[in-house]
Amino acid sequence: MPNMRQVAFTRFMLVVAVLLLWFGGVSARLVYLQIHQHSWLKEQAMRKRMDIKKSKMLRGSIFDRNNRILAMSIKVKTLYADATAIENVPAAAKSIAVVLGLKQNQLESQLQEAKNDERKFVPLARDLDDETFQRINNALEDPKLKKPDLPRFAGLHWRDEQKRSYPQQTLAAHVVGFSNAEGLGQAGIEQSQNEVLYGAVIKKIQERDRLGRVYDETVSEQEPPHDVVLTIDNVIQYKTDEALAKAVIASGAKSGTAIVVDHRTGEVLALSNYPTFDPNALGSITPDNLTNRAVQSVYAPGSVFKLVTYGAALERKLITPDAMIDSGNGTIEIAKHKFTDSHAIGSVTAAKALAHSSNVCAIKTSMRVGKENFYGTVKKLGFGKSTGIELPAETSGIVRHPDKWNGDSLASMAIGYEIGVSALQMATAFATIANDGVRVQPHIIKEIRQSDEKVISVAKPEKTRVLTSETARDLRTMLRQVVLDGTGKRAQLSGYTSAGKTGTAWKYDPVLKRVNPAKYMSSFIGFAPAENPAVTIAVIMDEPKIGGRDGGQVAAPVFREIADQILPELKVSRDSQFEAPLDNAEDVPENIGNVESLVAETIETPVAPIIEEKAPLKINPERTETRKEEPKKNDNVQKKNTLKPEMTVEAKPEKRTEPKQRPALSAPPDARPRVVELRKSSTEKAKNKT
Amino acid sequence: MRKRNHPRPISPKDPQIAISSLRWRYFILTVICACVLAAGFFFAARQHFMSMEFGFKNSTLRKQLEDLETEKRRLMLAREMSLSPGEIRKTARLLGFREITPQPEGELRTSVVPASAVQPAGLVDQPLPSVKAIVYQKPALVPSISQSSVDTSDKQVKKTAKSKPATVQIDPQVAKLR
Repeated sequence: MPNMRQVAFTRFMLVVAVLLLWFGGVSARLVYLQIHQHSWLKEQAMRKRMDIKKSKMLRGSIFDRNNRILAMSIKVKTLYADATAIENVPAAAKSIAVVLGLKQNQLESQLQEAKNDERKFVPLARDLDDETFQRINNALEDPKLKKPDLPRFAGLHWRDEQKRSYPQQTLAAHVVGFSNAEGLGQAGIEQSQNEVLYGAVIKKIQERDRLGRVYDETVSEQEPPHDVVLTIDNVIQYKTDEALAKAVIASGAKSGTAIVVDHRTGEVLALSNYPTFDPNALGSITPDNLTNRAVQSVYAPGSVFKLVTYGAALERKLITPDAMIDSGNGTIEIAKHKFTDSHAIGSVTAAKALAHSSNVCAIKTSMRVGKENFYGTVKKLGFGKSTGIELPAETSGIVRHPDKWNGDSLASMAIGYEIGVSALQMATAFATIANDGVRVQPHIIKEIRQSDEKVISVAKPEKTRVLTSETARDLRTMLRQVVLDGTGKRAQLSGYTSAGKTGTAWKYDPVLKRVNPAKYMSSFIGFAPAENPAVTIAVIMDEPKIGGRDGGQVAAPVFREIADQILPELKVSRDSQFEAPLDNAEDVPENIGNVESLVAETIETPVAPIIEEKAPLKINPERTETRKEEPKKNDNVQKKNTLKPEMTVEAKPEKRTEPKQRPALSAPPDARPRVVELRKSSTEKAKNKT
Repeated sequence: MRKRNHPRPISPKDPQIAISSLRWRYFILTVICACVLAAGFFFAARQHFMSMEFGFKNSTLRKQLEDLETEKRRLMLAREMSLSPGEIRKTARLLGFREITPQPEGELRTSVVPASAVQPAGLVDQPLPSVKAIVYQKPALVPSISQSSVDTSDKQVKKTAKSKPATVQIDPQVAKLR
């Protein structure tokens, strides 16, 4: 018996020993795996179940003030092939070609080449919508293949991309701009607000099970892009675009610009340029149609600038609207340079002088104001500096300091020459008058908000009192006269009163290197209704060729068309029973003797054009708004001109104080304001001729 | 006779019975502990798989949300595109409306036409409705009329609609159209 016990005990101990060995071995292995190999195994496990995906957040959207979409990005799918994962290239190419409608041979060679090069990304179809995505997935599904992502086809994968779309097409194209394939803004708001709109890249860490199903996801935090709401009203913008396009085509103009501003808030309701472009069709964009002339181009304003002249005088109580100004025989000589009106209007009130756009009266008024005061008013009204609107490449215009003025610079500036302005600056100046002398900084962004429409920031424009209420009121009265019985009769509205000023300025021709009397910038800037204005509208036409060329004939009707349509849209009450006459029912009465200033009073040549001959010219009283022309030897130019003004001009004095040349007023397509160059002296020019 | 009611004296075999009952107790206790442990493992496993399940559902719902968001954006965009002036113009063309394309204008017209040449008989006394917005009117499809006259007449009709009858002065070509 004791032997049995011993045997049993021995057996028991053997079993225990085996168990201990087994247990010890397992423990040792566990220790090795879980302590020694811990980091490596953890990494392997993470790698097998974790999937890191990088994706870009959708670029922010751009809306108009009525929440209409102007620019939006949507997710699209791109089907690509990982050539290294395709074993049977011909078979795969055959299946894919049938589904996608591609050429099999071409696709096969492409895939084979990619496989040889070990390329893992071969795009097959881009920018596909959800419906096409589902269709392709169903068509390419291989039931035998176990693949975590779609499509269930060896070597094919989907990639999320985004596509930028501009549903309104050409509407407010210059304001909205466009972005490139990388999602970077290239023009307009897309460019200036790129940081706000840009969708950052986010990292998604997904944990998958053995079947590829995601059971946990971590997203790296990034600030989401914001949406931009503009002040643009799509209805007003459309009507402005249409009216401007129609007028540019009808007049054969090179280009046109129209701006509609709510002067009380500084909001730009419409900003239109023609020619324009479609941001959806990047191939159609050219430097010519891409330029936002409203803010990037500089031009000599001509007679619309008389607003500043009379404003400066009224502000200093040097004149009143009823004060008499004697234009004499319609000629005035400043620094041995004669400025003339097309016809003498004698002694008239300041209001009438502005209505008839008398250069002599404006110059006399500016003389009373003085150089420094005039310059001060020019600067106060915002000229010579950018308005600060949220659009890229805005020009600040060209305003020389009085220290650099000639003897006749004040006279030239009083009638809108020797100065370069942008359309927006001029519109803002008139908006200041419409707003009772308070200048509100124009802006085009109403608010910036998150994707869930929570507002982050709201525009708060700067408001500055520039002129007194009395001055503004007097100016409005005078501008009303321009429309009632002055050069701006075609700006009369039906059911509403309006006020404004016409302008016609000759352009500097870089080819001829002097002012070209065949090229004009015709403009009309005004507001309506006259007494309690609701909107300020500026229309500028560049080189109108067909029909009339004056601001009153070309630009004023556009103002009228825009105002007639948008005032009811803005629910502005009618303040007049007057129904404006049709164009062909009653022609605009002639405005005798208004000379739209000297041709050469441009930035390029600061005084009247270099008229080599001293031949006297006759004044044609039939001109509504006349302008200076070349001497009779340039007959070809005169013949092309439907209106043939002639003027008396004296030769320039030989000595000049400013020998440098100035840049062209109409900026080239790149629309960058150029460095002002001083003009050549007449002695130098005489030397060059000899 | 033997009395069987007397309690049995404890024999040397009795300690085995006591030990046996102790073993059973330990055995039952072990089983209970094992059951508790197993139950704990099962509970933990259930929680694990439930969390996995929730993870899958969460991921599916998140994907669904993303897809719906994408679809919403796509529909919003499609709606905006269909309401855009370009698309409306295309649709109008498909429906047979003709657009008045602006043409370069010559010199201003100065001819004056009496109102009676414009308005059809019977409508002279009826005031024209005031139009607050310019609407392109489909011109009459008269083959003999050229495009320029159609455009001209459309412009005239447009302007006519804005004015009172007594002051309407329109080119006589409009009368031909009507």
